[in-house]
Amino acid sequence: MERTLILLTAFVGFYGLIISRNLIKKLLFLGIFNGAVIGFFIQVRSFLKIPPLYMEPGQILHIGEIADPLPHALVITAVVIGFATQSLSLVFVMIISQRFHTLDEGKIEILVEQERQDDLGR
Amino acid sequence: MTWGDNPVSLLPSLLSFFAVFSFVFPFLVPLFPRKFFWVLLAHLLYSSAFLFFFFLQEPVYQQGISVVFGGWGKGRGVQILLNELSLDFMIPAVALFAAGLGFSRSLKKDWKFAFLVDLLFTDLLLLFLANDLFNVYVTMELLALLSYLLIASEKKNRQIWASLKYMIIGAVGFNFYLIGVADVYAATGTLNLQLLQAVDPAILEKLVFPFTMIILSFLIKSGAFFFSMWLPSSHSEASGMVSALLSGIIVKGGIFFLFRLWPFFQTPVLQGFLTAVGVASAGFGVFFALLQKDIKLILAFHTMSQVGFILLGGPTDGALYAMSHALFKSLLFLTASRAAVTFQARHLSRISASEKTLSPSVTLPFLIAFLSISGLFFCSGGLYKFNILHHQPTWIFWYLELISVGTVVSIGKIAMVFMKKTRWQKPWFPGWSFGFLTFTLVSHGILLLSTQSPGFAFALSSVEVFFVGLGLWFLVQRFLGSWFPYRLFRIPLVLNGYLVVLSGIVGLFFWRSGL
Repeated sequence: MERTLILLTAFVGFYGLIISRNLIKKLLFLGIFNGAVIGFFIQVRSFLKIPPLYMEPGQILHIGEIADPLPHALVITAVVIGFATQSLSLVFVMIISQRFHTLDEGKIEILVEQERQDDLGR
Repeated sequence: MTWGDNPVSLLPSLLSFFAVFSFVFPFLVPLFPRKFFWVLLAHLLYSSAFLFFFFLQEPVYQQGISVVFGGWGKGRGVQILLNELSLDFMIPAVALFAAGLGFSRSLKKDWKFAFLVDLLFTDLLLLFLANDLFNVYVTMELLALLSYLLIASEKKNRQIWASLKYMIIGAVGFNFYLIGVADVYAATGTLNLQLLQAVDPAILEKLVFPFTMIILSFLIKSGAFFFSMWLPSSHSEASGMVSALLSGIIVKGGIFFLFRLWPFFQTPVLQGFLTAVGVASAGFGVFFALLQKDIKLILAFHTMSQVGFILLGGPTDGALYAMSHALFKSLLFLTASRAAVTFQARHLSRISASEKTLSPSVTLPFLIAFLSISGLFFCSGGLYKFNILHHQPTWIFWYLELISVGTVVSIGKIAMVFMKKTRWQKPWFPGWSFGFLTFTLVSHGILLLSTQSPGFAFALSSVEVFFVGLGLWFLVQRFLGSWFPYRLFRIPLVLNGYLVVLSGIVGLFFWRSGL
């Protein structure tokens, strides 16, 4: 059930990325997609009964269930990288919006192509 | 312990030292903002020395040299592995870095640009050592972040837009990777590639969907047509040295990991998918290159086409061709960028109409790189391309021969214009960066000819393709227009395409499984 909900969220994020033309909305949907993928990763291996990585000799384990820590290490990396990418994207979107005075992806594509044609034609 | 006592056991320690200490150099750059060029030079010499040493070690070509950091064991620790495949990619990375030091004024004057390039170089070397799915993710994402910054380094509108598109598409790609890795880990319990190879093949055969997601993520980074539609604008709009790095070695990151994971892609569905991508990429890349008159856009589309050849070659022939491709493609971009600066134009008509002239120190290296990409027998890449073609089924062989002729026609366009605009007088000497790459291409080609003795058929076929291409260029040059279908490269269309491909692969898998 959780996996289905997470994959549905990922699909919503991915589909929103396709259909929205506003760059800020695209980045928001990218964030949703990214979050859902991280949730999927955690959900896949979070509830298995495995022993901790390290135990002292003779130590008795009182905790019933341990979540697998390896996916969590990868997820932390994914969160940090996702944050860095989102931050950089937002900076670029800010610069683009200041220069082209629009956040519409289709219009920016046309303006950029016109600029390229003008430069080539000079 | 002296050096003479069991020196083989020192190799893992040396590899760990090499990998870890490499990270010191980029962080020395901001500490010495006026002398950073010497830091980069020291880094180059350090990497070259270690690579030369490892190149001579027998264990690299057998089981490889591997290290698991922290003593955790392969199941939990980060593993690096240096084998022949790693060397095939690390050597051109070092060569490109060396050429870049001589070429780029930004690299000599701007310490921030130098910091990014040096960090990119370090990350590339570690990327080609990665041997677990976690390390793959970290190194690839760092490579991507540095690429985004380098593409937009001159802060021009088109560069920032190209970088933003690359960022969005790349982020989607690596989310696919995470989904694939999560499923692989759930099924097998490990991220380590060596341990994955020991998993029951019956379990691995059922993992078509996760491996498809992983393949998709690497194809998005590797420059294959349809999956890497960010490539033409990024590679053409970036500055000269960044374009050379992007086409030369950065796209090889995705290709390297496809080859590293190749043993897991042996099901008929996945092999068929990779072959189809290679064939499509080779053809469409040349098709769009023929339709361009922007010299950097022509070269960018050729990167897509050559990636198709590399994918069809696989981890044996393809990896060797990738090594040559890194050298001649970067030389093509560096010389084309120098020409664009000279003429203040990138359009072939504008260059032809310009009153300025080109120096032989730029034209001659461009021509050598042109001969290399055309597959001529005395240049690096000729023999590897010949091997790729001759290990394919008949219809793919003839298709690739046609594509090779198309390659000569489309880059011949640029070569003819450059030759017409060249003033054949001093300076003849191409300078450090062009000269180094030119010398490497020719000497590597001659070395292969003398050591491999490929036979007269190889030389004849390479010359035939070249002259057929040139002849065709003379016939069709007037009919070739200029058309860049930028709408095909928009984000929504590209992402829709990924959905269609994924659905197709999954559907095909279930159909073949009888479900």
